[in-house]
Amino acid sequence: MNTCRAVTRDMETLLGLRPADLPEAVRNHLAACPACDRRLAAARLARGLIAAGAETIAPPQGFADRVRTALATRTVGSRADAETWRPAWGLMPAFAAAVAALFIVYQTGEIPGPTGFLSSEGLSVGEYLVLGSPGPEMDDIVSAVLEGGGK
Amino acid sequence: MAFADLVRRYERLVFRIAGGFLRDRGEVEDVAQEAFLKAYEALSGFRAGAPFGPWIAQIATRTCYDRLRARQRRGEVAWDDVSLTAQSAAPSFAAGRPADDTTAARDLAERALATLPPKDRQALMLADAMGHTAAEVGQMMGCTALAVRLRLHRARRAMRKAAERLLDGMGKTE
Repeated sequence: MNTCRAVTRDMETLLGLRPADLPEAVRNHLAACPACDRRLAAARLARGLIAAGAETIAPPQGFADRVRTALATRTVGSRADAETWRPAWGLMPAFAAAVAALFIVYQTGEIPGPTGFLSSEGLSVGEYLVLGSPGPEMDDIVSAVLEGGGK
Repeated sequence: MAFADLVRRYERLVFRIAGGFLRDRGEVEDVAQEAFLKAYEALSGFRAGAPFGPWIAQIATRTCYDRLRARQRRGEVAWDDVSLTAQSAAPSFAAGRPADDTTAARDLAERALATLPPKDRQALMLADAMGHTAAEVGQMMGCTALAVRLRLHRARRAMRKAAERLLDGMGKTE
């Protein structure tokens, strides 16, 4: 038990002992071997840090009542949310019908403009390049670039 | 049994778990409450006759994990980054003695533990600080015992390296 290898091998056991309780052979070895002494010190420090990291915190008095109150508040809150949304759910069929009517009008209607809602009149060439339909001729693009994006 | 009775019976367990991961008392209380509320909402999925303890422990562990994950991990610990008060705990630990100032010890520990990935930290605290087996830790964290052992190996090595860095810094100031 007086070699570096033995100290490394039995590190867990040594960590469980108080410094005064270490076998004499180990104490002698540690006194003569700074590397093993440092290894044991690092292991002790790491173990101390881990133990100190876990704090025992006792629950406060009346914690169960606090949870019960929070539970009641949450339940009331979710009921209130449900009440708020109930009328809105009743309007769902009307909303769906309105969306369907708009869709049909948009699909069949004669709506002018490149995107269905906008007229291409009054657009600059740059806007027309982005919004216009069908796509512009190459000459339009070149002249737009040359003219700095004017109308 | 009323739910409040269940809370009373298991509140110590939940506080112990939360206290193992979180520093602030208020945050521990918040997490404990959140864990019980989650448990209440999930009660319909709880298998009748199964032990409640491991189940609430799992919920508490996962709730703490969410908190830890939301935090930014700290870089490697260096002696000069640690406050003078926290530094005072290191020599006692290195000599195999408990630290006199528990607040300083906790600050130093938190600084070192904050460098670990949240799951590694949880495995380390559950196993090495709270004394759970790898299988129990796996159940709490929702992973296998083998995965826990790998995390433990990695976390212990990281803590050992952090301790060595602190010892180096300590040696320079002595």
